[in-house]
Amino acid sequence: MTTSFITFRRAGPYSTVQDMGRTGHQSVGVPESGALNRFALKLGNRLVGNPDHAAGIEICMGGVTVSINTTRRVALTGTVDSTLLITDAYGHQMEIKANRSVTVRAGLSIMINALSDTNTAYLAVSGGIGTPLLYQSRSTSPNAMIGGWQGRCIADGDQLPLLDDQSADTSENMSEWMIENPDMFAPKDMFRVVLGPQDNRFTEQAITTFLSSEYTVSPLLNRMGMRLDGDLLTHIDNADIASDGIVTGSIQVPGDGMPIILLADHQTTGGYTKIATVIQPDIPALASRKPGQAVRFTAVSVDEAETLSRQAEDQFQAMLKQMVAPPPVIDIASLYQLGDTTGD
Amino acid sequence: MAMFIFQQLQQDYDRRFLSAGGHGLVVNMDDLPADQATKAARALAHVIKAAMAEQALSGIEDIIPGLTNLLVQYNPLVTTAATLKQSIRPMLAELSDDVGAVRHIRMPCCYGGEFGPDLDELANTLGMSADDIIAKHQANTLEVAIMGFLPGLAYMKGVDEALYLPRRKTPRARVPALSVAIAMDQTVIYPLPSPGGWHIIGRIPVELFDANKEEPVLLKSGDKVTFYPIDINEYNKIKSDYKSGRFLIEIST
Repeated sequence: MTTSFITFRRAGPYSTVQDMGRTGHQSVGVPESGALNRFALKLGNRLVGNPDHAAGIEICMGGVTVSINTTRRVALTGTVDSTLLITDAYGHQMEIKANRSVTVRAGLSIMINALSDTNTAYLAVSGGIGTPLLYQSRSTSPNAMIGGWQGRCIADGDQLPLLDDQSADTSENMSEWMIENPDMFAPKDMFRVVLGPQDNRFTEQAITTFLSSEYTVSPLLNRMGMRLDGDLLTHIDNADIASDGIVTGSIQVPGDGMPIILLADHQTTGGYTKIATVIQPDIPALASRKPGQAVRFTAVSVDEAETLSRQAEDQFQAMLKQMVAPPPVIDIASLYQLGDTTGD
Repeated sequence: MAMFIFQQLQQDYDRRFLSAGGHGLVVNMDDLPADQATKAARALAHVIKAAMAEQALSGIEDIIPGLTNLLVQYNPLVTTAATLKQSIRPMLAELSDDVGAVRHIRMPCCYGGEFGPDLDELANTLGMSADDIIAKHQANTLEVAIMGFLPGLAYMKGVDEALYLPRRKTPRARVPALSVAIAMDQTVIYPLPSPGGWHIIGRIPVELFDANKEEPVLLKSGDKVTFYPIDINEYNKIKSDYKSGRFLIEIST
């Protein structure tokens, strides 16, 4: 059997291997990690026939070109507008929309340009990325230097192993799928939060400011956290707390008064006040925000947050049920050939 | 029989449960003295884990002890904060300090020189000799209060009061892996090269986190740790023997 691998001709600025993360080990300092947009990676996996927990490539900002040495189905998700550009050895190019799978012959070039409507997208490959498991997960946590490919972001020239495509179907008829309505991945700028756990350490004015003003995503953005620029949030006394645990979505406000939203690779404990927490179903859309874009917050109760989580999951499952066979790919190369044979 | 030690937990404390979104519940124990709160959080983690093992609790994804609270991360598709509070309240009423066997770990450390670049400055500031600092640092048995920041990083409390100092004004951009550093009443060992503002006094020859091991993490919260000094030759020998499996860290219970 030939070893399958995916080669990164251009890796992009911050591409990593991600799956659903290594939950359950934060008490020994191991970050949860995993896809920032779980819905998008799960959808990608479904489109290419993988189990939900299969590892894919998380792409930040775009600018990625890969090729695979065996024929595989691939899908780009987490975006509505960005596309896959598939190029053959003759330079013939096909543009494939996001949120559908497509069978790509061995060796063809697969390119994702600068992402247009999101900061984070996913490339799912049938079989899944085969980097080693650590605590049952293949996710990369670049700051902790664990998981994924050598514990780091993918670099130009890297070749990552692929697991066998369980469908083992290399004929022309690999099943392809698409979803018709990817609305769930449309950009948002309003995010729902539950106040706390240390909202009592802020002035009343700070809470009002936090919930009414518009913040901007700063360029200081990575998988650990998203720093925001905007109105200062004032502490009653200071920003220090006895160090405690952090969940993804926690909004930490250090002494400088500027909020930082902690994301999947956040440190497991921290010593700064947390004013609020972005609710779980809003984290995917949050991770789609680009530096310079607006972010606003509105408060909900714990009960509402839990209900919204269940509703988002229902919405996602409903979207998956609407997976349909896509129309045939318009292959520009074959159109040219068609033109040749019918030429006037 | 287990002893109940957390009687000071007030029954009607209105900040007992705090929210971390609709997916995290904080069990706050800051109505206890700080050292008791750390132990109580760890004890509650122990009780919750036992309940999970007996399948008496579902939907809990992770339990993260803090210095004065316990964070319970849950899956809102499976459970709710209200359900968890109902299960946790009776646990608090009966919380004991019996968290099973406590591990004692003897940790070799090569103090000073290239491995402890802050030792001399520390000696100056504290008005004692470098040897005094080393002697005081190894004399106390430390306790891992909490873990965090990086995989395997333990915050160990119980450093001799004579060594109390705030963190450096300007953190270093890069502290070498396995550096032993102190600040306030604590000692940390950096598992990986990382930025850090603590005073570096030595280095250990063994890994704190080894992804290739079945149990990748060496230290856990609640562990007791005593340091003992080794010279550079012993350091080099232990380092290579540890890699080949011929040196084992002493752990007793």
